[in-house]
Amino acid sequence: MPQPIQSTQTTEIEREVRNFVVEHFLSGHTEKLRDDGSLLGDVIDSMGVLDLVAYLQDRFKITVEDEEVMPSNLDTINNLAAYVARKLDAKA
Amino acid sequence: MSDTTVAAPIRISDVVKVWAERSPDRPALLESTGAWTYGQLSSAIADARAWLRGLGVRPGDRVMIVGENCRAFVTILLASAAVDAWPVLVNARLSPREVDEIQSHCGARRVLYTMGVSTHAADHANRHGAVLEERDGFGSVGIGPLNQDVEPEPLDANVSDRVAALIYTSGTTGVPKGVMLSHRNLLFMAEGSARIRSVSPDDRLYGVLPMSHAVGLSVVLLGSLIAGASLYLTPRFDPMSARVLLEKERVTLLLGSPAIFNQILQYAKLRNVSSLKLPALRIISSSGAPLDPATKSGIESLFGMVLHNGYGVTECSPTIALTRPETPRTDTSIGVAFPGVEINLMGSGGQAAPAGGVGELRVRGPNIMKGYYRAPEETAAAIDGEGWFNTHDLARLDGDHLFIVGRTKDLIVHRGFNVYPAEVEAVLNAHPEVFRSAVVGRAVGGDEEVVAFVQPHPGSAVTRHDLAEFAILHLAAYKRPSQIVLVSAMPVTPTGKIVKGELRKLAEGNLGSKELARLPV
Repeated sequence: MPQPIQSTQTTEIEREVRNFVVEHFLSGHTEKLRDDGSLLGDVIDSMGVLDLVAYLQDRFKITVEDEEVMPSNLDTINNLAAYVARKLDAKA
Repeated sequence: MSDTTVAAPIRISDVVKVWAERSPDRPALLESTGAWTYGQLSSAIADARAWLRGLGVRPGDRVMIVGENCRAFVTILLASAAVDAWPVLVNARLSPREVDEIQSHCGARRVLYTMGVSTHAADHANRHGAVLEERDGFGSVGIGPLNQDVEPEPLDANVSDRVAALIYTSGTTGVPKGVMLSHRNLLFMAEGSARIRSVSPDDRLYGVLPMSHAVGLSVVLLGSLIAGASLYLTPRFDPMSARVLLEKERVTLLLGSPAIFNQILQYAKLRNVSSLKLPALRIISSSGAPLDPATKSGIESLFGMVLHNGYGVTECSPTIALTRPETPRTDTSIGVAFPGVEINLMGSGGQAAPAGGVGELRVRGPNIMKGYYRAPEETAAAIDGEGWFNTHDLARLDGDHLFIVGRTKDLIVHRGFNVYPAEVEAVLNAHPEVFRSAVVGRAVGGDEEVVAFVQPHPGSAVTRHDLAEFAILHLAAYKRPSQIVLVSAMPVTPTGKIVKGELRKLAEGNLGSKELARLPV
């Protein structure tokens, strides 16, 4: 039976995703990333969504389906990390 | 579409009445949070009229709506028009400075914010100390404080001539101006647009173009409602969510901008798909910015159908010309004049341009704005005594089809030769590694140099040398850029138009030989 992703792995995923968002969309300005802030349409514009999806697929070897591109999956760093963790869990 | 028992619409809010009476259960507006039929939309507008009066809104008052596409935005807009207030439509993605400038200039009686769908609107609402209200079907709406220091504008005796929308042009040069569009302007545009595309109650339109801008307002929103069609509202675009919705909801008309279509091409590249056939889709059309031939052919190959093109400016409600479904083009002509609109190309010296020659495009017709708000001199400069509006765009005619060559102010004169930036951009954009480019002039010792800003596709390793070699192959020497600057993003307006004014300033600064990683936003 597949084991759920450990919390330390989720933390690591969150760290990596946060770093990518800050470097790719905020030119390294960590202070501009609001923990409660919406990423989609704010930090990440429509072209950026494609870049984000490409990154998630390349880095974590998951497939981001079109139907999964929604705020509950991608709109905050926490949501992003949880989404990736679920996808990895499903693959395991 | 005509019905002898229902009067023709006079105010833009009247377009809903026909369908609310004839087919109240047909879907009118749909979004992720819910949907309204024509009957429900009509009721919502009636409720909102009373609500606005309760908020102290009087005929002639300016009601500023800071928002993104949603039922709340549409309802407040139409209710404001119904009570003869002036809806001032503001894209929530504008900066605080821009929003505050508009609020100050128009003398808004109330500012309302569609917070339910837009974090940008919520940010402005919070800045302005708006009070939150939850309304049925609206979600959260912010209500700004009542401005007791403003007076309503007098109303035109003729209802059709009253202001139905006040839209501030972001433009690509200069200071934004408030364009006053009448009920007549907008209904003329809505009716004509719907007729040209044979829009009917069986149609489902994708409403992604911002309704705070002229084309989203008159062509998409009012063009849909006037025909009894269904409109899917979305406040933001991403190609993946769009693909899902277009397919699932069997959208029949997709009106977008070149930026949107380019993103769809990038999506196809990411997904490695060469075909995106959507059987219900019958018309796709681009407007709002110049359409590149590479984008047109890419999209046509992907969708297996013609990508139409159109052109307009806010001051003309906005459509001036568009390609027709019955006479599709393989080039990027902006099409033939909108029915009922006259066009004229003025050459140098104020004479008509010679046949096939380039001239400054002027327009006259029921689509011409009432004027710029509180700017009579600018209005007089824009519309002459015979009603001709000067677009300051350069165009030429090939038969009855128009081609935009560039903006008068964009023309570069290098070594005595005219260089049209649009032509140089088209060449650079044809390079397979280039996503988009923008060419501006830089004054140097009595001459003007051609400077090209080029944004490559993500991950591309193309160099300035590669592009310079490419330019040598395709451009006469005097047209080739003196400098090519690689950028990872362009400064754009909320509707995706490149802001050349900012690029000119950069070009005049000390760019040296460095490649800019990202332009300041």
